[in-house]
Amino acid sequence: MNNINKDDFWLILHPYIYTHIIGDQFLLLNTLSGEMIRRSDPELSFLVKQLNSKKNGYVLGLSKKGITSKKEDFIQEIRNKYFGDLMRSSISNGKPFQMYPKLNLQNIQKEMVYKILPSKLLKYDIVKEFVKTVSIYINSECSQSCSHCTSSYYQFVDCYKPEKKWELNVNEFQGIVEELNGSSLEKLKILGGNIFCHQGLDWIKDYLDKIPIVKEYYLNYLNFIDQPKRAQILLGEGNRLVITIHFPVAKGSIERMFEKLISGLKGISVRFLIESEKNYEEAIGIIQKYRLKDTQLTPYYNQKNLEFFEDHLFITEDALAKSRVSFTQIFTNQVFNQLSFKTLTITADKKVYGNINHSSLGRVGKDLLMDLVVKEMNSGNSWYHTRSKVIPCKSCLYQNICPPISNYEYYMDKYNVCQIQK
Amino acid sequence: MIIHPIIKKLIQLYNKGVDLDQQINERNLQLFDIKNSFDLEQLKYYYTYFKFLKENGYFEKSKFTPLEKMKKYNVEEIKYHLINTDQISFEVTDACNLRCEYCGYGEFYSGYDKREGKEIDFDNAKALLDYIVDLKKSVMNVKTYRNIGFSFYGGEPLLNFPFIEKMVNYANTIKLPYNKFLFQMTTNGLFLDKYMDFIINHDFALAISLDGNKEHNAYRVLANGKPSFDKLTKNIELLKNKSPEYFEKNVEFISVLHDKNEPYEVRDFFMEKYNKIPRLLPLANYGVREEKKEEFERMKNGNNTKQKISNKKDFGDLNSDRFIKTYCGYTYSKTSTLTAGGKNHRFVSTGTCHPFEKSVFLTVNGKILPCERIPQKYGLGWVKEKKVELDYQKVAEFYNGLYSKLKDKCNVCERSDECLKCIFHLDLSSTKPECSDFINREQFKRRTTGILSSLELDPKIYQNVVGD
Ligand code: SF4
Ligand code: SF4
Ligand code: SF4
Ligand code: SF4
Repeated sequence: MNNINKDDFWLILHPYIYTHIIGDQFLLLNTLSGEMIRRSDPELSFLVKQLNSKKNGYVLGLSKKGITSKKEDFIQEIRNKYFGDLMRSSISNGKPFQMYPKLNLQNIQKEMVYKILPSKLLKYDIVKEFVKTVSIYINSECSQSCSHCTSSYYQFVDCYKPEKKWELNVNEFQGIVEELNGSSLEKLKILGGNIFCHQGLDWIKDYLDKIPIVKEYYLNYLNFIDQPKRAQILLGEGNRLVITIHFPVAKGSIERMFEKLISGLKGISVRFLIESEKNYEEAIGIIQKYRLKDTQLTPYYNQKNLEFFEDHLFITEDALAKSRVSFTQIFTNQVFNQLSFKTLTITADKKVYGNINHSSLGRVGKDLLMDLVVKEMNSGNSWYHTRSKVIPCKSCLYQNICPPISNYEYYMDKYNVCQIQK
Repeated sequence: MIIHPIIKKLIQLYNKGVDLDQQINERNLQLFDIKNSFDLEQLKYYYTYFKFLKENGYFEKSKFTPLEKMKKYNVEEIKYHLINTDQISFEVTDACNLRCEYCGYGEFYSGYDKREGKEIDFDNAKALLDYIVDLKKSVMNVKTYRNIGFSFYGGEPLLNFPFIEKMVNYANTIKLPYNKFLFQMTTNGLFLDKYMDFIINHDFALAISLDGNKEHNAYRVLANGKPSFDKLTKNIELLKNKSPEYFEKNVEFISVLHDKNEPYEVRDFFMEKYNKIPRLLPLANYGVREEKKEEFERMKNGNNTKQKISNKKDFGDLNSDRFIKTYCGYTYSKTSTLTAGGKNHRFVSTGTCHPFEKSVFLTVNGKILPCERIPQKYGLGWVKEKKVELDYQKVAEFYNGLYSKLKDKCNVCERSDECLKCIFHLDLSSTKPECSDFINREQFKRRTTGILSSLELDPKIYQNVVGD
């Protein structure tokens, strides 16, 4: 290190900077400020590539001669926005070391492979760690005829009525819950059709009451109005009742419903399906009128309201910057889909899904749930389905920054729900 | 993080309580040690950068929770951990049909109860099981839907097969509402030929001890001093042929590392012969008798086992791997770290588990221990004449007492963030126990500088950890 030249510099990136490079394009994200620098330029892209290379690890030696005016402007921008710095090489003996950010994907893959080895000893671990939320459709019978039926449940957890009538009997239900013994199950969601049409509902409720995990029962408000007393019975320690309201509402019934509800609101969550701005205002009106505390506003795509989604829900670059995506989030997005990870859906015809929008993994009664979890992990279809695997995200610089692929996208079969890449 | 000298200076001054705004406005340049090469503009730039980092929490002192706060037990907590224990385990017999030279109950070690060829008493074991099963029915049982390990240890457990058979049959009559038993056994395998049907039928998770090939396994000898390798591998073949499926799914191997084997060779042996990766264990280095220390060290490190395990050449005792994972905020290597939260809080807690959290272990003498891997002198209770004597208050006081002995050490220990030490592996007889893993501020600084300069010289080490 004796021939240090005063015209030599270290160009460094700070360790909180995330980089993504595709060809001549690159994106730098300052995870502390949320600011981004995005360029499409062969010369600068090459510079960032060099910085990012294994050899350099966020520290690149540059000589004064090598700094063109374009590079100089860029370096100035990097400094001004605290993405990095240019330091005289004399500040250190030899190349300084930066702990550059890196996800050990290899290790994570090894971890997965290790976990899914067909070993009994390890299988226990899989189930233990990889099942957190399970939705069980106990029946499919329902006397309503909602227009959103058979399409909303692809977008979010909701009741649905297929053409055929199915029902899980109490033994089959108990079998499923017993199979989950040994897992880190935290939440069970119970849905129908109309779960009140299930003969064994009271038994199921009593059975689940003894298990100290969170239980959520789902009902459409039309079915609730018919039997408010029964709905009250579903409440209790650790239980939640989610009542879905869709527009236009049957006026009188809403009134009747909330009169009945007002005294026993604890444990009840009211969810509004929002298809338009008008719906949104209506929902807010109802929430204020009845002073509802536990509410959810859930966008619903009805095939005709793409514009509403574009205007209000599509991701913008600005929103991404404001959301201050952390490195944990970025690395998570690189590995799995946080929305479906560790969740299973079991429909009344006994089919098991890692995500309801994808093909089923198998059937309860025929396959072991544990084996189906292994299958899901091996397939990578839902739990490990990341933006890097779909068009157009796979060629987009934001693929690890954008939120994980949502069920809306699967349902629309359209993955750029963003204002960024049209 | 690479820090410009001016930032370093600013941090120093800030820590001394200097009003930086004022000093910079007054152009008090000498204070900042700035030679002419860096002008005022530079200083201003780094000062705003300093403020940016500060806003983002960079120079915040991490919160600190001392040992006496982290580990202070009361009766309710002891009960809670007991109810939620992961495992119930039994020392089936203290007899063994092998004479492994490094055995934890052998000549190298002290601290265990005398080996007298005793067998565990079924009625006492049953009493303990009933006691825990009863507790498990409580609402304090939060680990629902988890398997509970039901484990048999020895000596060699299969020397007292009648107990195992009786206990398993009894356990199978118990219906726990939300948990299931998972039978487990660690065996030297010499009696496998006799009992494998039972083991397979009850779906035991089976761990077989074998140190590798015949040469590797040389310390594991029969009572007559002859090698045990041939007999054992014959039994393993029998088991494999009897139920290939069981062998594939339920059997694992444990190999102890010492001067007669080598991790990679051991692994290759098992991969080739059984298509399995063995669990490698170093020789336990606690409770070693003073007069045997030298001999022990030779066996342990004869050809430098330690280095072979960590496989970090030229790294002495600097374990950079853990260092990087603990102190670098932007590397992730496991899914669980991705799902867990951040860290600007130092919890001093040692590596010891909560009492009974991991296990409830009953010895042949009726002693109740929090685990089978600690010296038996730390009994926490008894089962005598079918009665469980376990005083939660006393257990709490015992643990609180140990931690109060250690708090002065651990609270100033710079390794407390990454401590893996089980305190039962320390010599707790003195009032101020020593810990071989302790490092003070100075040593920590030296270690940090050491690691960082090794990283500068050889960035490959970092690349290895982050998998680049
Ligand atoms: S209440 Fe639910 S299941 Fe019934 S028709 Fe409406 S959406 Fe379908
Ligand atoms: S194309 Fe995909 S990755 Fe790119 S901004 Fe849009 S949603 Fe995000
Ligand atoms: S060795 Fe110590 S930390 Fe480990 S399980 Fe036993 S008591 Fe707990
Ligand atoms: S290394 Fe030793 S001294 Fe340091 S915290 Fe752990 S037990 Fe305490």
